[in-house]
Amino acid sequence: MIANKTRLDEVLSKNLLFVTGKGGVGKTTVAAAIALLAAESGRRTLVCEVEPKGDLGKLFGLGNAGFVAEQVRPNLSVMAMNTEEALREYLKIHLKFPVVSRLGPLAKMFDFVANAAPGVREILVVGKLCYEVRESRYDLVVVDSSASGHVVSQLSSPSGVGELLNVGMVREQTRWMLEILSDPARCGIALVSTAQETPIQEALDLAERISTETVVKLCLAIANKIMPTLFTEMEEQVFSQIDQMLSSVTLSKKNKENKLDGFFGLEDLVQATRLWQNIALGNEKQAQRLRQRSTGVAPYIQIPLVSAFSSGFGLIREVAETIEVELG
Amino acid sequence: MSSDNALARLLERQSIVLTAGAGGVGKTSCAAALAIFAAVEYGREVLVVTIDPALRLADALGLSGIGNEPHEVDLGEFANPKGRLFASMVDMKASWDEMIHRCAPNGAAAQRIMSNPVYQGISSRFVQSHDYIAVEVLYELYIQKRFDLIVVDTPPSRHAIDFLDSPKKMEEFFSSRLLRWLTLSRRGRLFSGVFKPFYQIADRILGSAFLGDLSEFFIEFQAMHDGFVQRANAVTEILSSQDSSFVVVASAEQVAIEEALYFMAELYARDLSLGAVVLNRSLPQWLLDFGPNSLVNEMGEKAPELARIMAKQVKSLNSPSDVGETETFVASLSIIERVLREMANCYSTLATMKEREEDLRSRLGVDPELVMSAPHMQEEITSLSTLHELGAMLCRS
Repeated sequence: MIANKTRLDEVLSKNLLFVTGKGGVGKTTVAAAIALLAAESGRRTLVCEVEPKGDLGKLFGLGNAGFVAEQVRPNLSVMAMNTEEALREYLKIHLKFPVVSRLGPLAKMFDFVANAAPGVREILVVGKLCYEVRESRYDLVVVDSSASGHVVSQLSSPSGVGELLNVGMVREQTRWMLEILSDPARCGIALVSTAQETPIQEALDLAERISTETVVKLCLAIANKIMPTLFTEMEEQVFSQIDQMLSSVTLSKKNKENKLDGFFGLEDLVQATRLWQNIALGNEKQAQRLRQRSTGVAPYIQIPLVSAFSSGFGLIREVAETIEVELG
Repeated sequence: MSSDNALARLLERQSIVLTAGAGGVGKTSCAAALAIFAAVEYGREVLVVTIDPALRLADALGLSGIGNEPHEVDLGEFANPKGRLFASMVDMKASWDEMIHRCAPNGAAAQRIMSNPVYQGISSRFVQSHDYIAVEVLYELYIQKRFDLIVVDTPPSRHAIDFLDSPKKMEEFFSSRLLRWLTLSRRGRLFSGVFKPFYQIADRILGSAFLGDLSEFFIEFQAMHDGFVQRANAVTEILSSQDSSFVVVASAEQVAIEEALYFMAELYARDLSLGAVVLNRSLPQWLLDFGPNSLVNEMGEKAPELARIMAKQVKSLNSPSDVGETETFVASLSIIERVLREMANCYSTLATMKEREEDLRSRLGVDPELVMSAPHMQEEITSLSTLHELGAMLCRS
């Protein structure tokens, strides 16, 4: 047996994986797909939606995922983050705080303090995720993280809160969280972007901030929803000749009978192909920037635009298959 | 211009236009495009306020660095610009500082607030504070009455709606019982029975040094209460007045459409005005107009024949002198066939995508007159003229 780990194993063998990127790039789907691959490779996996819009639950055919993890497939559970519930759990575990019924006003106060003290809300989120890892209830926790800016505040919260809170229990606990977060064998970030200029630029900026402001390392870069270019160089030449030919045929139509008349609609196909190629070339140019940024840092893969045709579990399955092939 | 649509009418008459929508749908570009178009075509004095523009868009607008002070954008490249365009990029930290200076009772109090670690955290790191400050900046610009039209690109946030709620939240924040409690003296707090357990817990979790910073901060902050609340109310009033309209931007994707639907429902619930919906990066209409293309289905069998005809056709089109040059197909028939099949695939894939897009569009459930489409731009927006072009497509579709 060859002991070589594939690049996929490398990702799936972590304990905590944050999937992040600009809104709308497909973070949720990618997180679900990676979680599915992990679960099917035998790892006990939890996938958590940090900003619960309900998209993750829907993908797995659940109504809405809740704070209590729910098993959706063998080895695979789904949960949605909820800071109030996270606080409740935190108090229960660390303070043996019994008066659960009194949490109403306490939660309100917490909300208030969390709004005022940057990092407190974030640290509860990251704390809950790290806690699941530390307690080894799951082998891998995949996090469908917050959009770009937020994730940096979340991941830098253990150190940030440490600075702000000199004493206190939260301060104590940032230490073990940082231990998990800063170990590249256990924790990593998968950065997802679509191949348009703005999302790519934001992804590159985010990669920079992740490396300078957080202790977590980038472990995967994904260009998502790619419309791939269709032709080899030779085929491209043939296509442009067909294109030229059809325009000259149209011009000479008046004069002589046209043998292509029987193929009504050919011009439409040309026009559609030209449109596709234009978008695809734009995609390629932008995806290239992400590839360059990740060279030497983390594996880079592309996922084609499948979301236009599938949804729900079928979509997760297709994306998972692509990831498996690309990282195999 | 008789072909002008609902969006064009907004740009001609409205005082405030806010673009809103999920992240990544091209909201900022739309805001900039509408602003340029209003300045060039409708002769208005326009200001576009951006929060966090992509680098190249900022370059196009001549925004070299962040700054709250509007600066004029040179419209010299347009033949006959009828109005003027200004642009500014919100500087969060500077805006917070300005606001503290405006609302604090005196300079010393302002200094104390600004040197508190809690304030430094809020103004620089805390993401949600962006929503409030964007509203603040808008208010300040609006009351100055320097511009006919202000186009605001709302900040990216979890839900675009946070932006609308921020003045109200700020007001709640100031009038909350908890704030009053926090600003009691430590002794007072310990003996105020109701809060005793909370204080003990907070003390253990967060540490008393932090709680000290926090209550000091709020004691200072409370002095600004009246100014704050007054401004928050004024902003809410402006947003719900006849002078403001929202333009919801979405791309033709399910998530973006859902976000747009949610936002529109919230606008409706708040009695705010929906000016238009922009469906960005939409595929061209001709994909549907051409109707079912029989060639797509028949390409499987017809490809070989078509490939042969094409190979000949090319020869016959070339004048004899051209023979032997690259104008003939250099490829074998099988390659031509493959290209033809790929073309058929392409058409059917795009047509399917367009159909899905139409489904999503129909889910918007608003008057079709209010929905504008903007195409996939082949080139990313790098110049004023491409922005103007986008504006023209939006306002004259």
